[in-house]
Amino acid sequence: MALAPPPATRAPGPRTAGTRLDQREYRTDVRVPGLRAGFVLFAVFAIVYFVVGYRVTVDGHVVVFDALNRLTNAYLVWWNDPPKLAAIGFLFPPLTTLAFLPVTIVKPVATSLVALPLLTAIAAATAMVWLDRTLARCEMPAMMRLPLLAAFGLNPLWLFYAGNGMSEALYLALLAIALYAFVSWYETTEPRYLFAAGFAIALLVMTRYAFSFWALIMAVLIGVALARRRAGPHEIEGSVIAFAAPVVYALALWTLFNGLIVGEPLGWVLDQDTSTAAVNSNGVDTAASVGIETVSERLLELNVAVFPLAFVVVPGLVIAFVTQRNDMALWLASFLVLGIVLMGGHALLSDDESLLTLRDAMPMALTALVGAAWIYRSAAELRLVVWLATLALLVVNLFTAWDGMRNYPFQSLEQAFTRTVFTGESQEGRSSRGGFTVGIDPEAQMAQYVKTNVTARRAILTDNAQTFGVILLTGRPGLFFDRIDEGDGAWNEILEAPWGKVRYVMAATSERAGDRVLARYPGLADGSEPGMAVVARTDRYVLARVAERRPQGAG
Amino acid sequence: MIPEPLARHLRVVPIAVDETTLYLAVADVLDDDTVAALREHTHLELRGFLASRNSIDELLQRVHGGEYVAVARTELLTRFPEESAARVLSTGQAIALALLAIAFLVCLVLAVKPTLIVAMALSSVFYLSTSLYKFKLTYDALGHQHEVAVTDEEIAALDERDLPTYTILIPLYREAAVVPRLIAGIGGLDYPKTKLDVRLLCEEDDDETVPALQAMDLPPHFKVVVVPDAQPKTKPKACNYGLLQADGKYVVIYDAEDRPDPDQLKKIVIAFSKVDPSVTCIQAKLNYFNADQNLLTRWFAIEYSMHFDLLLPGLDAQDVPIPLGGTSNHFITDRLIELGAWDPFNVTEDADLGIRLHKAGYKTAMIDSTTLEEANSELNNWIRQRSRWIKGYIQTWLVHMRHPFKLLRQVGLKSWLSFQLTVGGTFIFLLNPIFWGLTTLFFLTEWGFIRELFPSVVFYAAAFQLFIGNFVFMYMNVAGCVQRSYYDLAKFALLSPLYWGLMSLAAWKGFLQLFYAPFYWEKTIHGLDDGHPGAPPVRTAA
Repeated sequence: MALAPPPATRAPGPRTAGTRLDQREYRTDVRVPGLRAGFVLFAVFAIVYFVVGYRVTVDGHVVVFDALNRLTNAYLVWWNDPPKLAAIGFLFPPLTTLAFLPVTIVKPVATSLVALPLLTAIAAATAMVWLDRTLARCEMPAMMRLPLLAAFGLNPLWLFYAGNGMSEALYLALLAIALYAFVSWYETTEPRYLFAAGFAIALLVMTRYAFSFWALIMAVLIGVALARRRAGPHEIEGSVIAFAAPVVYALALWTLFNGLIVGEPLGWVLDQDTSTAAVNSNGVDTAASVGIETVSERLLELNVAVFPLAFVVVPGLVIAFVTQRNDMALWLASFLVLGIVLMGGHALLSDDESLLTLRDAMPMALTALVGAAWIYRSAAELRLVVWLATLALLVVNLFTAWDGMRNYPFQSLEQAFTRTVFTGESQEGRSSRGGFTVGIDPEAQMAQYVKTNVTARRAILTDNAQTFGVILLTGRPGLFFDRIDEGDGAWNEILEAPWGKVRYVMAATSERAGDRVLARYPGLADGSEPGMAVVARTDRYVLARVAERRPQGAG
Repeated sequence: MIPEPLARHLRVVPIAVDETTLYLAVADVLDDDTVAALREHTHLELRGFLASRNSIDELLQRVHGGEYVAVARTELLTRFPEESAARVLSTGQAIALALLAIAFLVCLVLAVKPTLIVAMALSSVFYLSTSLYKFKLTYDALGHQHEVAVTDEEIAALDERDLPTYTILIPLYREAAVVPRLIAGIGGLDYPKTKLDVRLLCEEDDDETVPALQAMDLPPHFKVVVVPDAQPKTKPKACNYGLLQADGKYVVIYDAEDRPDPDQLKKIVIAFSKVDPSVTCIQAKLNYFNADQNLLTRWFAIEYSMHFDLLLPGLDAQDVPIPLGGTSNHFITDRLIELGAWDPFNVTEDADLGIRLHKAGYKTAMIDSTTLEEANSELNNWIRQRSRWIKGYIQTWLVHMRHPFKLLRQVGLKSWLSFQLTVGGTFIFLLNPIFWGLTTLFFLTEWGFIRELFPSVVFYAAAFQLFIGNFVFMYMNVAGCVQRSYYDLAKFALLSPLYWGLMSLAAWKGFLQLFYAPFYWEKTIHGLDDGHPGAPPVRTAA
C-alpha cells in the first residue's frame, strides 16, 4: 500500500514495548547489516567451509561416525522401504537429523557424503552472519568486525566442525541467533526479539539437551531483570511465558514422542550414552576415577585450547556489571561460567573424564566473543583496547586450538583433521587421538559387496544402530531388514529365528560396538556360528549367509 | 412531483400544493441553486417552510420509507448483481459443485483408499498453506509499524473549524439497555458535536429500543432512523438505509456497545489526508473492554489482538485485500456509495466490502487507534455470533469465486492467493474436527486404515501441521498479546487449542445454516458484561 511520506514528527524505528532494561538510551542509528551484506558474508564463509569440509571429509575420509549416523537416519526417512519418520531415532537430539532431511532428498548427495560438509557449511556460515549482526548491534563498525570474524571463523576447530556434518555447527548457529535476539531484546525490549530468542533456544535444546539449563537460566534472568526494573507482575509473567513457551513445548513434544514410539518418555534424559562412536573406536585412556582436580585440569586445558578469550572476557563482564549495573554483562558471564560448570559437573557425576571433549567447549568460544562485543559496547572509552585484545586473543586461539587438536586426548578426529590439512593426504586407516580409526573403507567395501551380490528386498538382517555406514553407502536401505522397518519387536523375532526369513545377517565386529546381531550370534565374528556361513568380511563388518532351516547346534 | 433522490439531496419535502403554489418543508432557505433544481420538475411557485434538519429527515423517511428500504435492499443487487450474496451459489458454481460431488462419489466407489488419500493430501496441503501464509503475515507485522501513524502533535494542530462532517451509523436492535452507555460513549468523542451526524438505526418492529430513544432528550446531532420492516433483516440493510441520508464526508459504523478511542475520528481525518488517494477505508483496531470477565472473553481478546495487531497489518503491508472488521471501518462516503455500500444479504458485510473495495482498485489502510467492544461472555451467544461470521466468510468466498479467473485478472495472483488463504482459509475450521478425530482415533486404536490414508509425504505434511503448525498459531496468539502489551493474557493464549475447538463447533453450525437459512442474522446479545468495570487488559505503557 502506497503511503504518503511520513511527517517529521513520526516516531522513528519499530514499535517498542515493555519496561526498559538497558540503562543507556536505545540508539536508533545503530545499523545492523541488511540482507545483502549478510548474504555476501554467508556466501564467503559457506564456500570456504564447504571446500575445506569436502577436502577433509569426502577426500580425506575424516568422517565422524556420529555425523554419519545422523545422515543415515535422515536418508532412511526418505528412502527406507517404507519411508519412516521414526528413522530419525531417539538416540540423539533430533534436530540435526531433521536438518539433514532437505539434503538427503537427493540420493547421491547423501550417499557420496557431500551432505556432511554441505549442511554444516551452511550452518556455520549462518552462525557467522548472526555473529556479525551481534557485533554490529554492539556498535562495532564493519572495519573492526571483519578481522574478528575472520579470526574466529578460520579457527581450525571451527573449520573442522564447519565441514564435518556434526551437530556443533547447527547448534552454534542457533546459539548465535539466540544470543543476538537476547542482546537485541535487552537493548530494545521489542517483543519480537524475545519471541526469536525463545524459538532459537527451543531449537537449540533439540540439538543439545544440556541447553535446557541455559533456557532455565535465561527465563529466570528475564524475570529477575524485569523485576529489578520494577516491571509489573503481568509483564514479568507474560515475558517469561513468551520466552519459555517454545522451549517447554519442544521438550514436552519430544517426551511425548519418546513415550509413544519408544515407550520411555524420559529415555532421552536418562540415556545419554552413545554407542555409535564405538563402531570405529579403539578405546582411549582415561583416569580410573575422576576427581575435581582432574576435571579442573582438563577444563583449564580446554579453556586454553578452545576459548582463551574467556580469560579476559569473564572478568571484563563482571567489571561492567559492577560499575554500570549492566545486567547483560552479568548474564553473558553467567552463561560462560555455567557452560564450564555444566561440562565439569557432567564429567564428575559420570566419573568419566572423556566427556570433557574439545567440541563440548565450543559454545563457550562463541559466547566469549559475544561477551567481548558487549564489553566493547559498554566501555565506550576503551573500545580500541578491547578490540585489540579480542583480536589478539582470537589470533592466539588459532595456535592453541591447533595444538589442542593435535594433542588433547578427548576428541573426535580433530587430530586427523590437522594431519589432512597439513599433509593433504587421506587419513584412511590411520589412528586419531580420542581412540578412533579414521576412514570409511570397511563400510564402503562391504557396501560394494552388498550392491553387487544382494538384490532381494529385506534380505539382510542387521542392527542399523551399528551398520548405518554400510546401509548408507549402498544407497539401498530396502535391501536391509533393520530395526526401523517394523520396530524392535518384529526385528527381535527375526533375530531369534532368521532361518528362511532372511538370506543374510550383517554385523559390526568390534566388541565395543554392542551390535545386537553379534551379541546374539557371537560366533559370527570368527565364522564359527552354525547356520551362518561368512561370505564377506571387512575390517569392521561381517556378512554371513543364513541357512534355510535352523541347523543343529544353532543358538 | 419532486423525485425522491432530489428531495433527499435538497432536503425538501412537498407538503401541500394548490393551483399556483407548491408548499415545501425545507431545512434551509430556498437559494438560487435549489430553486433552479426544483424548476426542472415544476413551474409552480415555490413556498418554503423552515423545519429542523432532523424533522425533514424524519418526514422524508415517512414519505419515502418504502423506496429507501428498496434501495437499501437492492442497490447492490441491481447495480452489481454478481457481487451480491442474494443467491448463495451461482448456476455455474452449483453445476461445478454437483459435478465435483458426483466425481468424488464415483471415485470413492471405484477406489476408496486412493480417493481418500488424495482428499487427505489436498486438505493437508491447503491446511499447511493457510498456516504458513498466516504465519508469514504475522511475522511480517512483528516489530514493524504498517499502520498509518498520527501523532498527538498533529491532532493538536487541527483547526476544528476545518473538520468535515462525520456520519456515525449505529445499528440497534432490542438494545435499549445499552443506549445510555452508547450516548455517553459517543459523547466522549473528541470531535465538534456540530460536525457529527449520528444516526441510530432501529428496526420498525423494535418496540423496545425505539420508544426508549424517543423518550430520551437526545442531543441534536443524534438522529433516530427507523428502518421499515423488510427482509432481509440484517445490519447491513439497516446501514444502507441510514447511509441514504448521511451528511458526512466520512462515515463509520459503530456497534451499540463500542468505546472508540476519543481521538479516533480526528486521527482518521488526518490519516486520510496523508495516505495514498486510492485509500477509501481506514480500519481501526478492535479489542474488548471486558476481556478479563471470563476465559471466553480472554480468548476473544487474544484472538482480536492477534488479528488486528498482527494479521491485518500484515495484509496491509502485502497490499492485498483486507477483510474488514465489524465496526470502526471509516469510509469516504461518496466512494462507499459508488461501490454500492454494504451487501444486505451477506452476514459478514464488512469482510465482503473489503474485498469489493480491493477489486474496484481502492485500498484499505490500518490505523493505530482502538475501539473497545464487549466480548461475548456467554458460550451460546458466542457460538451464535461466531457461526454467523463463519457463514458470512463462506458466503463472501462463494460470491467472489463465482468467476475465479475474472477475479484473478482483476486483483492479480498475489491478491487472489491471499483471498483463498484468508477468506477461503475459513474452511480449515471445518477440516479441524476431521483431522483431530482421525488423530485421536489412530492413537486410541492404531487402526491401520488411518495409517494408510497418510502415506509418507502426506503424513509428514499433516504431522508438521499438527505438531508444529498448531503450536506456531498458539504462539502467535501469545505474540499478539505481548505485542499489544496485554501480558496478563499470555498464559490464556496457551489454551488456544480449546478455543479452536469451539470455533470448529461454530463453523459447522454456520456452514449447515448456509443451506437452510443463508441470510438469517444470528443476533448477538449485548449487555452481558454484567456491569463489568470495563477495564481492558492491563497494557503496560511503552
